[in-house]
Amino acid sequence: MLKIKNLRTSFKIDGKFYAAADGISFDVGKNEILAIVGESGSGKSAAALSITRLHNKKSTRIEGEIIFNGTDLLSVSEKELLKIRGKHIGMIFQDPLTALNPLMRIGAQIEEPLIYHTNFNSEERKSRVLELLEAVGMTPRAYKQFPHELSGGMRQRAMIAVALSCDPALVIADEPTTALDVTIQAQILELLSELQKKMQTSIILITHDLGVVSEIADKVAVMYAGQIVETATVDRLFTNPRHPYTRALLAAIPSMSSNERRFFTIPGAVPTLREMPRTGCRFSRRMPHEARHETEPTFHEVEPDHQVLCICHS
Amino acid sequence: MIIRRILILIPQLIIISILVFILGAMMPGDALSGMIDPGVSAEVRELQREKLGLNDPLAVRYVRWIGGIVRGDFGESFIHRRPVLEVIGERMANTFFLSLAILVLTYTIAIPLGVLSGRYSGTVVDKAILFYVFVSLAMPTMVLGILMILFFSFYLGWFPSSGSVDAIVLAKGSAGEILANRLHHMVLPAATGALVGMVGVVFMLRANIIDRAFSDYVTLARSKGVPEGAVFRRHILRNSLIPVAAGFGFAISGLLTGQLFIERIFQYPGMGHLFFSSVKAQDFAVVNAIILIFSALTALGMLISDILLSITDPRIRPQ
Amino acid sequence: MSLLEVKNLKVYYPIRGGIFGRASDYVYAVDGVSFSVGEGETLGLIGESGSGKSTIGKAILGLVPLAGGSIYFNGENITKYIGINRCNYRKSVQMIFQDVNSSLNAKKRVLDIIAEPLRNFEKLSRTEERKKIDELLSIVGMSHADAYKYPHEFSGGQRQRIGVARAIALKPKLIVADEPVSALDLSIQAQVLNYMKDIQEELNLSYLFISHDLGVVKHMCENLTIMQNGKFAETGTRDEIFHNPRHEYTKKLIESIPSKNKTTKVTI
Repeated sequence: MLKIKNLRTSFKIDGKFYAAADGISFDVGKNEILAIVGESGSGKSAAALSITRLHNKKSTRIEGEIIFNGTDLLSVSEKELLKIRGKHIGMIFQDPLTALNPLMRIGAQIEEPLIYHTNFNSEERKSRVLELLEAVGMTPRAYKQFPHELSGGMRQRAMIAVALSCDPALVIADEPTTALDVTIQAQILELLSELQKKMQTSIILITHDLGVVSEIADKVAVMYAGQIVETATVDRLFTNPRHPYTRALLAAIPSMSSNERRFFTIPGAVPTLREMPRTGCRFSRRMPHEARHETEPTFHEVEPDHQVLCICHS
Repeated sequence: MIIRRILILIPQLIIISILVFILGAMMPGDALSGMIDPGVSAEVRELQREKLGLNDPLAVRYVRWIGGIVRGDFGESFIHRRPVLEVIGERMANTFFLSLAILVLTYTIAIPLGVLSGRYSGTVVDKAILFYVFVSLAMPTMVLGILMILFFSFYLGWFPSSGSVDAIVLAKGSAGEILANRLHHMVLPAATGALVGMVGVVFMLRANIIDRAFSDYVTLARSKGVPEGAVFRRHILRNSLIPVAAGFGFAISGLLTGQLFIERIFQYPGMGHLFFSSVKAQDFAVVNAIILIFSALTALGMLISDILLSITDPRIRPQ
Repeated sequence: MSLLEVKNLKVYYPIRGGIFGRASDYVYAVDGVSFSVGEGETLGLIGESGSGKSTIGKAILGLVPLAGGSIYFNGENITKYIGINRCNYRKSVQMIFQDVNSSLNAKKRVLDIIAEPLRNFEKLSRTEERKKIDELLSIVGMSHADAYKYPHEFSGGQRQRIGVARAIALKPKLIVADEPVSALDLSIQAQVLNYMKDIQEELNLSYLFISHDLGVVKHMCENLTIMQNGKFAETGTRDEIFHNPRHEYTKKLIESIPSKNKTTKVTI
């Protein structure tokens, strides 16, 4: 349904372009949940916002192909894109407090996509909004409320209602639970996966939290320094991680079952956009000395549905 | 909440009035020093002071003064030999209409400029507007006013350079002619005031718009498929105008207070003009009254700002 | 005898209203909690936003007025002195903040940031101070050249280590760490936590570790307290809480952790 080929998203810093997402390819099938996992600076959000071209045009360059239901979103006109945004592709952002307009009532914000994408009159739109509020577990009272009058969890539900208002084929959720409390996180994830099943939507879930991934995703793509380094089904990734970075990430999670005194660490930090290595293995410099190398890694199929970008294949 | 704010005004005004009175009393000299012939003997002078109550303790004089104000009596101007209220009243209308013209002009110029420069930031349009704004920021009111008079009044001869109405027209003209003459007199001072006052509004609006253009909720609006024009109207512009609306409250209080310099430059017989000449003549009854009125209006302006803000921003509305 | 003992601590924030802004009601941010932290021990304080856990930290540092209760430090009742600057207690208790971007003054060099508590409490000569700072930097794994840089030149993890160096400059007995790693990436979290542990052993420090992340807390703390609505829902040792949670809220918290257990099969 969505096929991304060699996507490169570059941001302008002091007059020069630096690629935040540097040649990534993946696809999302119908009714599938793909999680893109990475730390801050890995380029995961840059890639996700590129799909509907939501970056500032002046300072961003997007190259590659983004084929959505047969059309390349990178070559369609602005006007055609408007018909896809919100109608066929919905978005959910990280912080519902800043992502909802503080001056607009919740009802009006959920209604907005319906104004542009349906022929509903205002009565029909209102009943659709009330229906959506119910679907995301909110009371009809919220229709007339402002974002600041709701709790964090309720606000995030409202944003989910916005994304789902036109029954989109794909929802892109950028860190949808990061700004929420742990117990609320669980509720929101549950709601997302329930609605996904009911509405037959595909989801791209951008997250840094492998716990969230294991909870609801079907497939995972792990990103590091602008590249996808490993893709696999969730089960395969967790049971048989192949890329050293994936392994390190998994090991760094303070696990609930072990009682290890020390934490596993990855030395160094994710390189910034400017200092990101552009050739060779980008993770190698954070590995132990004996494992460092400059060889250009390539994608290998480790097992069906499981690819890894590494020289250490077998 | 609004009732509470209004009630807070009362102690504020009392404190202001005490300060104003003490400051006035502390100024060197008194109303007599400019009025009485220097040759008059000290005894006569003292007698006169006693008669006017100037020798009473400060507290007594304050109570007398404030008591009068509560009854609408601001005392008598030593210079004009008329009740202060009468003297001020004449000028108040002049200042009010001038300031109203400035206010309307300021916002009608500033909002479109701010919107244009914010929406098309970085383009030639924006740069031209910014250039103009910086020039007028760098130019003191005094200089701009004099340039305006030089160019439009002396060189082109389009507008009068001073006064609020011509005496002949006032004496013989019809009501319509008088109004036209008054407006004609108002053009230069109003334009000068607006050109100076718009700078802040343009800057604020431009910064707000640029700031919000890539805020999260605007990105969310774009992700809904809302066309750019509607995104701008519904999300960026409305949210950017809120701080401007708050500033509007202050501007309203400026209706009577703010135009001191403009009135001075254009010899416009308003409150500001009166204020300067009263200070010079040490006519404290008038000075005190004007400061008190100005302060009260400023406090009122803040109240209006708060009310405007609570109307436009639901986050501030009382629950 | 424990290092810090808190009895029936109460912190109320007034809700102001009426014409004169009198407090018409109170938010019971912390409503009568008692706990103690032993020397060299770590007590984990867990709760969601608004549960009052950060307020406890602030109360112990004397940053908010107490509505009631008493605080004993080394057996001495210091409740009255807690707000007084430069007293011995203030020197013995330090804080590590969550947001490394706003808690380090961007206009100061690392040298001055770390030296600030030293300059407040100890009269050191220039060379002594420099020596001390080099020492502190090396404890948190940074070089002496870093002392002349500004906070923005460092990554988030390094900045938090600067925060740690500042907190330990006065050889405190207790450090209140308020969500010290929640703003950091996973791979960086671990680095900072490991440094915190090393320093604890070296200096025999006690931590009051405030966090919402059960995974992190489990590794850092021997004893845990779960907070809800300003009160303690449950207190116990790590094993008690994780293997046999009794309070409904604790159970809910533990259940709501995404099932990371899948990951434990991994070995490197």
